[in-house]
Amino acid sequence: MSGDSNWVAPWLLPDGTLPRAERGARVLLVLGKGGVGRTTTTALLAHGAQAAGLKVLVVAIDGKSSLHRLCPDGVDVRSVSAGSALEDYLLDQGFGTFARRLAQSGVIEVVGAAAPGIHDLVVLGKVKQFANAGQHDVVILDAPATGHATSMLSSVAGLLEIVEGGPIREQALDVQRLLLDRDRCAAVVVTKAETTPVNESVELVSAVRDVGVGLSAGVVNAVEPDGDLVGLSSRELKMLSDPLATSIRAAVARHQRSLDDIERFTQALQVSVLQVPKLPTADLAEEDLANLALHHLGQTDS
Amino acid sequence: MISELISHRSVIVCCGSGGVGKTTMAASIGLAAATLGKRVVVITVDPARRLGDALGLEHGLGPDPARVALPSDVSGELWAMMLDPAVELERVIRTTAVRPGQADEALANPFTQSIATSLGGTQEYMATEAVYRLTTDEAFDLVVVDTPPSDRAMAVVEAPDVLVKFLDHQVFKLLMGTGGRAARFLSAATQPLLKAVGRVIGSNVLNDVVEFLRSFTGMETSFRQRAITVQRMWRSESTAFVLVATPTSESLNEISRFNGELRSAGISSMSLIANGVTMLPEIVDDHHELPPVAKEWLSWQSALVESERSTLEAHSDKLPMVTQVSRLSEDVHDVDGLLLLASQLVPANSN
Repeated sequence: MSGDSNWVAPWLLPDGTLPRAERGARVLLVLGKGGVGRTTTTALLAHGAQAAGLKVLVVAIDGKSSLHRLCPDGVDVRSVSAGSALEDYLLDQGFGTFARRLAQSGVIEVVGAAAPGIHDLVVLGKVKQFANAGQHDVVILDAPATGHATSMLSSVAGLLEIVEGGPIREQALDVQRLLLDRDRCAAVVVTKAETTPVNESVELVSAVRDVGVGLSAGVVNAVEPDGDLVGLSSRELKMLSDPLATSIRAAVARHQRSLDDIERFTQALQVSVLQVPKLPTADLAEEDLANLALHHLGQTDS
Repeated sequence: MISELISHRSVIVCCGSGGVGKTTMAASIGLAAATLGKRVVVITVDPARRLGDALGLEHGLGPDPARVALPSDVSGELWAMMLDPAVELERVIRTTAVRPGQADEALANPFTQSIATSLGGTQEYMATEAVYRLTTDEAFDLVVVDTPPSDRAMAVVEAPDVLVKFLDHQVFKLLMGTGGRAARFLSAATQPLLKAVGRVIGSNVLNDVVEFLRSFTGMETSFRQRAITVQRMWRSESTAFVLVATPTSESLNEISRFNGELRSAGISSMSLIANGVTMLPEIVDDHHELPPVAKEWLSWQSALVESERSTLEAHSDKLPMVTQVSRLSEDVHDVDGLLLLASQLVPANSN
């Protein structure tokens, strides 16, 4: 599979071509509400991109260790924490030992409140730095949960309004350029096929559009096997006795609702939506993701 | 188990990552306690309107407790509110002001509002304040707290410590211009520090920050005392922490980590709810007579049930006592749904 040139993955680039490090890495922001499987999806995309022969970097915020476990060998995983990113940034700017002192005193926190979004900016600044380093073809960010993720994206524009000059403004301009560049950056919105997550994802999609970031794909995660039961004839259903019959009817009803939810999600996104089935395991492993990526993330173009 | 905590504690803190059903669980715990005759208030920090909707509160949740209409056979009371950090900050400022007009001045500063919502830790500290205020309110026997997702839940526990540390820090004293002669001597030394901050954010922003901090002059002492009282509340014997997770290794790993953090912060009273556990329907029929599609579906479900069971088992040595709550066939969206969950937490015969 590795390096297969016939591998088509429209979630990577809309025209089906593959991004290359020399042109600057493609940045995918994986967004979604807590609990929908954002981290799993990040790992899944890493599997898919690697299978397409790409050099992949996965960025986690505030050290999610499961990404190390779920990503295949050869994919780089780095974690960035908001606090240390700010410290690093100040060090880069030549603030020397002040940086640590500021970070530890809590003064920088007060400053952060006066210039909201400064933490988000330094995190996105790190991502930009990774993307421009020329070492990876694609950089996948496991973004924080919904509420925070949109404020993360809009914080850059917010900062540009407050800060009139200096290094922070420069950084914000650079990051904004990357976020708005359709060839370089796009969001992947993850949801589950349930009403509340889809409602929140639809709101998320419109927030992403407002910020001006492109959408590359939607992912419906953990789709239940309930759809298989639709094949049961009403005669067969009648033959079943309770409580099995009741749970099967409930599963069929759940499946019908999930179809409506997926439809609403697809309508809102207007880009391709990938459906990833739920596996009957409570302990998803790297091999499971490799398999899912193989069967659900792209098609071989021949 | 959870039912024991519900009957004996006066504060229950629900923690867990996003999407595990923490808010719903906090509401069910409150409801379960109300069915035992307690007067309960649930406070949420989750700005999503779900809790208000599920409780049938028409106008949503506000910064003051609103009473939830319950079926007539429930003997206790259930109240619910949502934390509004700005309202809470105003309460704190008004009770700690040391001279007439000081509170109004501090509140008039444009940063006061933005500090309440965006200063790291402020929101968490305000949650702590609100919980403390509710525990001292005679109208309630039990306060149930729905915390932010676990990466920030620790911040709620640590918020008072952080505040005390900040108030005690030299840099803060210098920014405030307090501390007499020694401070004036030292303030020369901090000039470069302030300049450095100014270089990052612009000196106009910095001046506003200094102005803001100075409007609080004299209030530090009572802020500090209050924070220390609240610090004790988290570690008191009447407070219990309920960790909520789904029965997956990812969620259980995360909650184990959080459990460890709580322990190192000196908190020992924890209990775990595994929420959304898959249950197999009881099979009366002979398995062999089932249509193939149903058989396949059942064996998929059995595989999941078995995997959840062994995953929970594998984590059992790292986690506190577990109460399992089974997955409902529909999302909980009203008091009846919450009552179904509550009945899983407090079995009817334990009354």
